[in-house]
Amino acid sequence: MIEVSNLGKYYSGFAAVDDISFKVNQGEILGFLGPNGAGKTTTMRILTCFMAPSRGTAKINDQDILQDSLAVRRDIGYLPENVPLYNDMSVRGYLLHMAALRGVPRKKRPERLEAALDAGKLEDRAETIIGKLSKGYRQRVGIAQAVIHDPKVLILDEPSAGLDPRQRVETRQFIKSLSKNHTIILSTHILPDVQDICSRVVIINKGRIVAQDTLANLETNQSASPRIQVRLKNPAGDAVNRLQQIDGVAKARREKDNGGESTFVLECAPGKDVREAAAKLCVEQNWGLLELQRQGTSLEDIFLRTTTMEENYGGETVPATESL
Amino acid sequence: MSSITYLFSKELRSYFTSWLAYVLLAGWLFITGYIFVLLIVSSTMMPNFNLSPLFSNMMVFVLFITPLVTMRLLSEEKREGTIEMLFTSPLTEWQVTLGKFIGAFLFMAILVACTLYVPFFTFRYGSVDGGPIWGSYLALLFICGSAVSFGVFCSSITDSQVVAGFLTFGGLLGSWILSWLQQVAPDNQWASLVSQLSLYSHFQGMLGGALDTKDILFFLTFIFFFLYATVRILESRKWR
Repeated sequence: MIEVSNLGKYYSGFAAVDDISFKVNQGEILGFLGPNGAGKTTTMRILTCFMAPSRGTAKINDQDILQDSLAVRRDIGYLPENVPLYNDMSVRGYLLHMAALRGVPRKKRPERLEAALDAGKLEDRAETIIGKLSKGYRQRVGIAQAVIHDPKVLILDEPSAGLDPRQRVETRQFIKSLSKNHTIILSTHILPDVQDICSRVVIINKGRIVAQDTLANLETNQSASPRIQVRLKNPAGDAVNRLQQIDGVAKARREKDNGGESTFVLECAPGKDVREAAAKLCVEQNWGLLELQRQGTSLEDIFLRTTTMEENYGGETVPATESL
Repeated sequence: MSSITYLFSKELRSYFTSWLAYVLLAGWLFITGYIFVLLIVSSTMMPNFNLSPLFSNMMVFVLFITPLVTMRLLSEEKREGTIEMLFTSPLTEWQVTLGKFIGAFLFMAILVACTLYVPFFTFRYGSVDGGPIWGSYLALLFICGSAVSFGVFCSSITDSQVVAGFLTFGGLLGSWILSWLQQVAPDNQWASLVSQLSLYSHFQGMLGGALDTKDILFFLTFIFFFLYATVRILESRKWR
């Protein structure tokens, strides 16, 4: 559905986007992540034909962004980062205006207007002048205009920015509901949202892709050395040494003691699962096993690790989680 | 084509939703009416009644009005970022440029049309040669078109309305000043060459009711040149 190949955007002396390639399949929601200034917005502007790439190209719905720019733009609904709107128009007037610009036939406009108002939950503000709306409502007008022409592809640049928690949940559910008929690229800094609705993730940093995979794969592969946390009620003094001796444990350490509970962390060798052995040992020694947990690498860890490791270029690569 | 129609009608409507249109209209009607009355009063002392001073003055007023009409056209879209919405919609640079140009030009044409009561009363209560009057109106429309085209261009190169307005005003004022050269030094070929570049050197014939293809071609080329330049400026956002 969306196919980005070797896309690059170079300014004199620096690369905003450097040779990135990825695919988004029909009906997929792609989480497009990266720190501020990583090149997300530039990439999105290129995909929406606002800018041209310095090299490479992209196909949307089998149409090239350079050759069939108008056709591509007909298929795309775009929510830009700062939601530029005409402040002197009413919400209804603005949405009808965007419908006309996006080429919705005159007869279908009332119907699409209703759909868009519904999408942004804006029915009660339809006559309000946009300049008088709050940030959250402006954001919703932005979402409404992105779907006004019922596009196949949606490109959303931080749709939840400036929304209150309840609106955020609503927006997330709305985006999720769109995924049945739409292919979506979603850029956001709210990682729990990504974990909830995105099937795949692309992380970019300094214009380059540093990670791209399904969420499940990312979480397994990135945790190359899984950690296990064990909480014990009354461990023996040599518990650390005993745990260390379990086959597959690279390093064991006592983390903290509080309220009669001690926490141990076992760093495992790659690919080894020591949970069973650890549980067995603790029960046999009667250490009072309270909790045993595998610490899966969360998206946040992956994000921090992939986007910070790059900064240590030249020297050794230190996982960011260690230094934090 | 339908996109262009939509764009210019939106642009034209937006003039009349702000106070600017009404202030300009009032000022324009007052000044032209004032000059018309002066001409009528002074005609009793002169052998024949002549409207050409009125039209010459209107040409100069265009110079003051155009910047106000065109300055926000593209600069505001750039400043507010709405240009991103415009060009991620299926619109070409030509459609946007022509939409803005036609919208502003039609507004100027409405101003000009509002003075049509002048020929109406003149024909009704006097005997005048129609040629110079209609020639003058045609010249006015060409001047308006050229000025608006230049104004749209100035609005495309900056995101500040004030800068766009000043550039437009400065450029048109410069053009007017150039046209004086020929009168000051009619025998100097350089002076006449340079003054030929001025918009204001090309309507003298029309004021007398004579249409010259040379002049019409000059205006059309002028309009096209600045529209084309605007399109190129708009396209340049892709490559910068």
